[in-house]
Amino acid sequence: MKNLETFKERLMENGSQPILCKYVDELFEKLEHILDTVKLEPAAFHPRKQLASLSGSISRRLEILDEKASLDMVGMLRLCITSADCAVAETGSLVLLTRWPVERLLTSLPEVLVAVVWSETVYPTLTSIADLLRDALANGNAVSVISGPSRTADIEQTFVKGVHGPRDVYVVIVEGGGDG
Amino acid sequence: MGEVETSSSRIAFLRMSLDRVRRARAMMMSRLPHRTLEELNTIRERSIREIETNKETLRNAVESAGGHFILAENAAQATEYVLDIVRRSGGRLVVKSKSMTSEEIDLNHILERAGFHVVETDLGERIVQTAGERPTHILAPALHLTSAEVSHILTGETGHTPSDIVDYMRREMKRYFFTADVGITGANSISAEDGSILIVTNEGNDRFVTTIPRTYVCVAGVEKVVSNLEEALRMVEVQVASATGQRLTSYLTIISPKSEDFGRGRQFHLVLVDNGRLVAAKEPELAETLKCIRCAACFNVCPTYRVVGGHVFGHRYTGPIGIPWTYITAGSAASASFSGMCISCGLCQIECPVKIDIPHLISFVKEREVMSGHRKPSPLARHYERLIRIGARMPRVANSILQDGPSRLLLERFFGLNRRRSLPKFPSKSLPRLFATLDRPGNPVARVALFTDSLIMYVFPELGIEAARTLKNLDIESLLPEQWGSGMPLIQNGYLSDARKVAEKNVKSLARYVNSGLEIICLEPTSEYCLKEVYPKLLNSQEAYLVKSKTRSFYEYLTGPVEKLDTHGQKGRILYHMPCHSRPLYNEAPTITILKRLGYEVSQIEAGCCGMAGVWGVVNFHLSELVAGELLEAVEKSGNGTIVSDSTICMIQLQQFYGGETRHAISLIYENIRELNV
Repeated sequence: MKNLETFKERLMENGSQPILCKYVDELFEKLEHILDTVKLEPAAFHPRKQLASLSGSISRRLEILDEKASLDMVGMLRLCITSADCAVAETGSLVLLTRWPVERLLTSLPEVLVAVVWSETVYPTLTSIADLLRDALANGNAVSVISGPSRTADIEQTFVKGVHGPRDVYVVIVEGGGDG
Repeated sequence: MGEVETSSSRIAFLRMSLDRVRRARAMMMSRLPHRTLEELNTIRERSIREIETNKETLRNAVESAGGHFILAENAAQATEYVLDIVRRSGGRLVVKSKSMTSEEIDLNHILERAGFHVVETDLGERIVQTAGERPTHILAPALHLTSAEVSHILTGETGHTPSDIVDYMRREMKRYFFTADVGITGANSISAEDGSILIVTNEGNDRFVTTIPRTYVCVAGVEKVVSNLEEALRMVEVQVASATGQRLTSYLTIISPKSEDFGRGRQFHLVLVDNGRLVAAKEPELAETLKCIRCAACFNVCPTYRVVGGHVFGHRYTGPIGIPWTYITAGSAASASFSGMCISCGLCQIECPVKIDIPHLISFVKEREVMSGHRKPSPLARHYERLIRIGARMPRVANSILQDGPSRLLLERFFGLNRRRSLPKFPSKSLPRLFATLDRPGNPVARVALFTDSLIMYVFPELGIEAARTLKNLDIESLLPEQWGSGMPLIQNGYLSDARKVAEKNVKSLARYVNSGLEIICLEPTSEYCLKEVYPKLLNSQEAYLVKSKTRSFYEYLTGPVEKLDTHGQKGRILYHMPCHSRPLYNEAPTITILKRLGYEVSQIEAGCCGMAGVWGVVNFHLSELVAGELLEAVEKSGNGTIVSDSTICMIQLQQFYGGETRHAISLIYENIRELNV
């Protein structure tokens, strides 16, 4: 529980926007709400892992993309919904383990990133997931640790969000456990 | 040394930028557990000690995973190899994520000369690339430019806001990312066991550079290799905290030669750059440089960097730690081109998260520059003790020379002694003669040996007398051992073998007193700093450590019998300037404790160095005045008033540039104690 509190706090600190989702049944609703608020097109849904079960209901609104999507397609996206493999509380980070370049671009490119995290996958510190990362890398993954929006302070140290990647990062934390 | 830009708004802008980073950093570093820093220090020490094994482990890991690995002995080999990879890619467009190592080997120019189009994708790096400049800071390449300047450089018009410029860059860069043939990055750390490369950015440009182009090349210094992933993560964590004051940057990318996308026709190349590092790793003194995690915390506090910036204070590597980096990777002619900017104040060492003794490293590099003939000799620094002793022996002759216009012109010409520097006059008697006539306490409770440094010995002997009288009033007898000046000007100018001789003579003389149970009481911050911090490193002898263990400052010593000093009176407000050489030794100056006890309301001036730095400020008068500017501004901000300092060097500087009253702490304390008659 303490992990989760820290995670939320640190997400806010690094400029991400945590959204709590008490039950997995609420998840679709929460995502719809974000889509209605942000209103960016084209938007895509990347059905990673547990998210796959939502594909049916969300396909009415969004393009379903997988890792074999074309670069051109991904290049046009302005919003993407995906899920993180795990998270780090202390740094407010999403951790993505990916095998395909396009899978990484889905989180690097759009102006808005929406990532779903299951609460039981929130680890305390970065070094506490060293073994997990080591195994993932050994199995052919690349690791992306995302802690907030893309930003720069290169001009007069003025913070500007959304340099090459997302200017807004929504993190939907599902507390009710995944379906796996 | 390059041209010094002196516009005061430029200096204020640079300082403001550095202070902002410094504040954020201080806050984050105070939150890091002490254990984390200790751990990192151990990791860095071990990774340099085991640098040869680590690089071989890494080679095996990369090659067995199907990646390409090369250890480039020098810059030419590294660039040749990269050029070859780029040629074989069959394309023309190269995108880069910020890499200091590629600056070191001058990769961009070589690729461009061969006809390739190289695009830096980090915003700051892109700005300086477009402007045709070099980065002035290893983390924030365009730190020196204002928003209007950046706007003009990138868009040709001055009116755009930072957020307009970022929008423009986003569109511009996307084009390059999607069509690039080769992506080149540096590395923040590399794990030897599996070949994983860790890269941190806030912009996320590294993610495109490592993902889209079919050929990926990492160019990194061999010192970045640590034994495993856990260590690599720890290193990145502290790098980020100490560099920008964040917990973690927005992006941390870990790419490995085992990543599946390299099996689908994409290529992985790791170019590990030696370029002097492996030789340096075998030299105990230089090896410390390699521990550096490139956080640039030392830049924030460096008094001269804060004034001149990286175009003057730097070659390809900039800032304090940039001096040994330059020496290792580009040789002594290159490091000598800006090592004179270091004034040996020691402030950088306090900031370093891996505890590198940067001032000592720089002195060592300066010595190499002297030996190779690349360093301009400074007869004034080399012979300062002899010159002061001659002056003290014939004060009237010396004073008429030093205070006379035409002869000052000659002194400037032949000794570099700037004619605008006002110098104190030699007194008729120096300290040893005055000391001989001093009353001694009848029944002393303790005896101490004074270590004064040259200025109190020969130019301001009254301070030595006042110190001894203060102690006498507390029934403490002071002795004046045979001694030489601390040798700081020698250290500052790379005359380390001369400095070693002075250190040896002083340690030998003082050790006799320590062996008879006396403590060594230093009257100057610099003399204390030398006995405690510099001599043990220079001599590495048991005797030097023995003397260090019994050395205290006059003020710290007084905090012992502090109750006797209570004067029960309000004495008004004074400003205290803490000399740089006290800062590595004390968190809070003991002088403040004493002055408060005496009834003064003390405000410490929140600014670093006064800019005198002994002989340095006599020779580099203009720069010295610029450095002093910050202190004077801080004094003005705190409402002016009497400034008290416990360094005669700082006093000379303050008297030259500060319009108000200045007092030496010893005089002020003595004035109060004399009235007390305890």
